Amino acid sequence: MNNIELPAEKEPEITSADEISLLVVILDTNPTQKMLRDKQNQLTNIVDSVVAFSNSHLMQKAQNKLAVMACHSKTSQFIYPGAKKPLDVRQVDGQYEAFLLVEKTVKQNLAELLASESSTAVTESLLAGAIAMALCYIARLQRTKPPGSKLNSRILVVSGSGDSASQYMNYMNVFFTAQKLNVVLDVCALDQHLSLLQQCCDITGGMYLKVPQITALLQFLLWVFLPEPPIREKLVLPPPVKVDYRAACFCHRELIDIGFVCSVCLSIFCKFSPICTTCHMVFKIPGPLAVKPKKRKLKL
Amino acid sequence: MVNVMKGVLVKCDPAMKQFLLHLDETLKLGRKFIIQELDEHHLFISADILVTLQAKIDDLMDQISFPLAEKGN
Amino acid sequence: MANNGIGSSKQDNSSLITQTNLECKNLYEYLKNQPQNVLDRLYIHPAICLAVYRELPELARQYVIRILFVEQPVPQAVVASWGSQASSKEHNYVTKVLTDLNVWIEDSLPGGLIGWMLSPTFKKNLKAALLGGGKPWSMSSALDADKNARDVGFLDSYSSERWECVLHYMVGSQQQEGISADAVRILLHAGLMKRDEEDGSPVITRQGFQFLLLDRHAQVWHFLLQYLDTVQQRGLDLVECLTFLFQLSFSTLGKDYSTEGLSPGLLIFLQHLREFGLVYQRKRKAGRFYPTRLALNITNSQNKNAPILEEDSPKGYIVVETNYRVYAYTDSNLQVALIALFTELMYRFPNLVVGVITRDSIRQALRGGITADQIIGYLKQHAHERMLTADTKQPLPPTVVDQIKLWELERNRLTYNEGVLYSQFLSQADFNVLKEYAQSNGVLIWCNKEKRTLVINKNAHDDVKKFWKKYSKGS
Repeated sequence: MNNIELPAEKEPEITSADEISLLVVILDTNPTQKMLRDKQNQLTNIVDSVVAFSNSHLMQKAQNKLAVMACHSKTSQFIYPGAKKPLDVRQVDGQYEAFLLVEKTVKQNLAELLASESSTAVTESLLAGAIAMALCYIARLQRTKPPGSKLNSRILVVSGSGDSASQYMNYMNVFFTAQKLNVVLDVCALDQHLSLLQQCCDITGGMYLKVPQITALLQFLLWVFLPEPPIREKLVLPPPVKVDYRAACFCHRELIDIGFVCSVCLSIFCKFSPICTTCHMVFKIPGPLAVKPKKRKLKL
Repeated sequence: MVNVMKGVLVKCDPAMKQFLLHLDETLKLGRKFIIQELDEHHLFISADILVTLQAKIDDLMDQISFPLAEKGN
Repeated sequence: MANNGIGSSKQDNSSLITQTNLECKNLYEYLKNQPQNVLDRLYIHPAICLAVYRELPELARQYVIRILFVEQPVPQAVVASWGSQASSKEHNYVTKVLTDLNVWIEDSLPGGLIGWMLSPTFKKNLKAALLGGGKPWSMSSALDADKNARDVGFLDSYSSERWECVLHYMVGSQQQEGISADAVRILLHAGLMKRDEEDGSPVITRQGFQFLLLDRHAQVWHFLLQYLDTVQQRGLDLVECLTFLFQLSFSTLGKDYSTEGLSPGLLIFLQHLREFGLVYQRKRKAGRFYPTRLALNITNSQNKNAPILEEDSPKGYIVVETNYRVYAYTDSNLQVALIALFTELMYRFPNLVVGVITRDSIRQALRGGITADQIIGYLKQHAHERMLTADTKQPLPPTVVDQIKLWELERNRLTYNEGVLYSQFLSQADFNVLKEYAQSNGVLIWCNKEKRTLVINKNAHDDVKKFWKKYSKGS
């Protein structure tokens, strides 16, 4: 067919305008966070900003999906969509019904969660566990999505806690899983610097931002975290920060620069130990180094 | 003086153009219809022959194609 | 089938040359042609602001949400810096869309810079839709529980039955009861049907066939746009109807809404929507109605490929094989009639119809005005689940797809353009002058410098003749 040119086959690809975008927000509601203890109504303000941000995500496209989790000191739970039947809401003002439903469900479930927490033990936020639950949810939605559609997912972690090296192993596990699943992990640090979570943003291609003022939280969320991953390259967003890639030793969970590495399973220790705790490999204790006899120069 | 003629500009591939020239020479449509040959891909023909010409082309295409699917009768 | 065959006595050259196809406008195109005051009145309603926001291109949505909470105008240079280098062309397109729709307006800052600011009504009402405030939308009054509550399955079958009534009428199968005179008038106005010269009854047109092959959402949207054109004549208010339509499109499926507070004009509009299957009402005077799937997300026309909601994924029923056989697992007369448009039907069973795609059947469809893309699009849209899971990117066999396109190209080996030939110019300068003139007016079809010949569009002949006379007198 030299004479007839077939018009260039334009595959009607699914552009990012047709993709379903799933956002999972993990909100750290642990009452032991410094910023929550300092100011009384801080949590309400943060929840309001997060709800407004979530509704903005739903506003982008009719097919966008949302899930919100609360990460508490003893447990993590989905507060939207809740486990129970969705509430029957009617509009009370000009707000779109679906947005009103999100707001009401989040506030109701969060209130129930906070009220049910009776002990005052001081514990860290279980963020790694919450991220794992979010990844399971995303995997389920990937399996059940309609054939022929594309789903891109991301997780946004909003937290005021500090770094917790004790969860190092768990963090590494979820970070690599997220990378395999093509899930983008964004982190919004409200109070302290989170160097471990910075590493995860680096691996998965997400954004890390430490918010300078909490009062402007909504503005930062809308500007930096609202665009979904496919369109982030069209906008100018804050560049990635330099990441602290020090590993944590397996025995004390402290970040170290120099250490011992097991040659079988690659686990890291700060001090030598004859048996590797992970793979139970036995290593010989290194004895004193043998000294080679020096060749004596013949004295003539 | 400039020569002005009314008609129809036909755009086609060189093979089809040869076929049209053949039709013209052998008077298959009853008369000559090509006013002027313009280039490899264009001809200028008279307007009223259009319907008969299209019918002739359709006939040609029917002749050179063959049924692709078995109807099963 | 409409008698468009070549060789019929009513045929003339013009239809070989100009082939008009169905034009479907999306919301942006529809709104940008509306006068300023209509847009201003429209933006008072949060539902419309929300619908318009969702229709904006991606980059535009980001820009708007960024300046939604900003009180002063933002300098244009700052907005331009938000987009990366690579997307500067997109930035220009997006700026144009936002200005056309009157979403933002130019404003000057102290210091002389020109900036963009969201138009106040749009800003206020988009904020209300997002965060709250303002009045509730008109159909949201509280209702008691419905004794005769209807579930989603019932609503789906009701809406398909009503909409298919209209489509059956277009195809001419006498199966269903006829449709109201109103609906016929809209079809005629839209150019989907026309009055037959001989007996005055409506027959389907080229555009009508193309309309039939569109997916349901596109059909409903196109039909409603045509309806809205005639709304003024019926004594209804365009803005009111548009607002109500958009509010409907954001409702939740399976939920009932109240008719309290609706104006008489809106109640008439509601009855029309009930006839087309967009809402369900048990009785005309019932105080509540249920929106159906057809009414939801009505403006989401960008999304032609992927289904919007999980429940919306159409149950595909067509299997196309590499030997050009088509198996359609359906018993609906409408679907069989549509398949018969471009295949030769061979067997018919209670739940299955078998046809074969042949050159003749495709040519017949092409003569009727259907394009190869539409046929392929229709087959893809209703492809059976098995075909989709086997290969998502290419559910249909590539050989069949290519062959349909080749059969279409076969008919286009010759393209015609009525024109006027100018040859034998006395000098090169004369030729150049006329060529430049024709080119600048956009009427030049072909030219050749060596032979000093050119062809002008027939319509422009008088114009060019006048110019030439003036020129030759002058020199």
